[in-house]
Amino acid sequence: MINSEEKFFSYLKGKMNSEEKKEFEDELISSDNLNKEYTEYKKLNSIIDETKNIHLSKDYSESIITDFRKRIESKELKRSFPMIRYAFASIIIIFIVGCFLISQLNKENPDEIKSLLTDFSEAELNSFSNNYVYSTDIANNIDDAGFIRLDSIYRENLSESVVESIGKKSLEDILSLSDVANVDEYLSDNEVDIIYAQLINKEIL
Amino acid sequence: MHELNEDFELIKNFIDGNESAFNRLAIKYQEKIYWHARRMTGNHLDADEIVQEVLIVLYNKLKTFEFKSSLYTWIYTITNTRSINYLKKKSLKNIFSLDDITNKKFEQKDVIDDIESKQKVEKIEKALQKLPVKQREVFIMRNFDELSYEEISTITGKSVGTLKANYFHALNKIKELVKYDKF
Repeated sequence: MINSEEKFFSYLKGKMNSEEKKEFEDELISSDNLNKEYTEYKKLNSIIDETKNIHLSKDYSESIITDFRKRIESKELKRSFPMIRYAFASIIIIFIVGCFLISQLNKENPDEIKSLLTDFSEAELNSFSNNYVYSTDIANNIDDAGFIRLDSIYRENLSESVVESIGKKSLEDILSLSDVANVDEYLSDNEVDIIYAQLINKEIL
Repeated sequence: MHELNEDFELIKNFIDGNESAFNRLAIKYQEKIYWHARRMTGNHLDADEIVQEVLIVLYNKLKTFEFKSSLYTWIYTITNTRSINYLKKKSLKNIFSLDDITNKKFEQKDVIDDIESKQKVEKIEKALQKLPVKQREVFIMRNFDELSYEEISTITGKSVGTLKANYFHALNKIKELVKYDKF
């Protein structure tokens, strides 16, 4: 069937030489089946041929190029402002990457903190806490014993820092003016923590 | 040969900045692009969209054309690929929207002047739409564009054996439609 079709195709499209043509015509005469197939194929071929060379209307043909030019112009207009899109995209990417990096850097490892408490002496820890800013996240990452120890170090440092920053004499004056020396009696632990936090934020500690 | 030289000249002029050279190329090939797209999609609106897409691709890629094949084969390959992609996209869209209904509403635009020809085209379109896309593309290339299996293989990237099998099924279906005058 496929071979027959190829012969029909070549014969009808004039792609056979005179010898092939003669051979095919002889086959058609000698085989009724082939002749029947050829008749069907020829009918189909004539229907297709009728629609093959239909031309498009003049109006539509002309409108193709006009529409195309309009599309190209609008695309070029969009292309003339690419920097805005790139700048916007860059800002978003930088923001996302920045947030990610900050979140990674701020992560505190509780195991590291625990090992610091055991590996270093109290004097060394005192020195560290004097030189580094206290982070409230530490409280979430260490156990109670560690926290109490750190808290005591901070408390000592706080009083030393206050004395250093305002001077011993001024401190005595302040303490003599009011009863602030007994401040622990009427402040809860939470309030003390808040005060510490505020002092830390102001970088007194 | 003359045609090849003419295409080469037009491409060269276009690359040198002559926009009207592209217009001439577009005018030369637009009907071939349109009819292949129309036979593949079965309607004017989709064919028109594909023509525009193909022209934009040509406009952007013509500078990279290396004359390894004829310009006609290259354009035909782009048109065929775009048509198949368009049909895939459309079938997906139709699942979720009412696109088909809106298309039919605007489909009546006259692009064929002669009424008799128009009726014949519509009949053929209906028959072609009854074929699966793979069979349809090979049937169109073989019967309407008179391409050899080797040429079709270059365009579609399929083996000659596969193409012959697809064509065999397509031909039988279309012959049945002709036989019982369902055309």
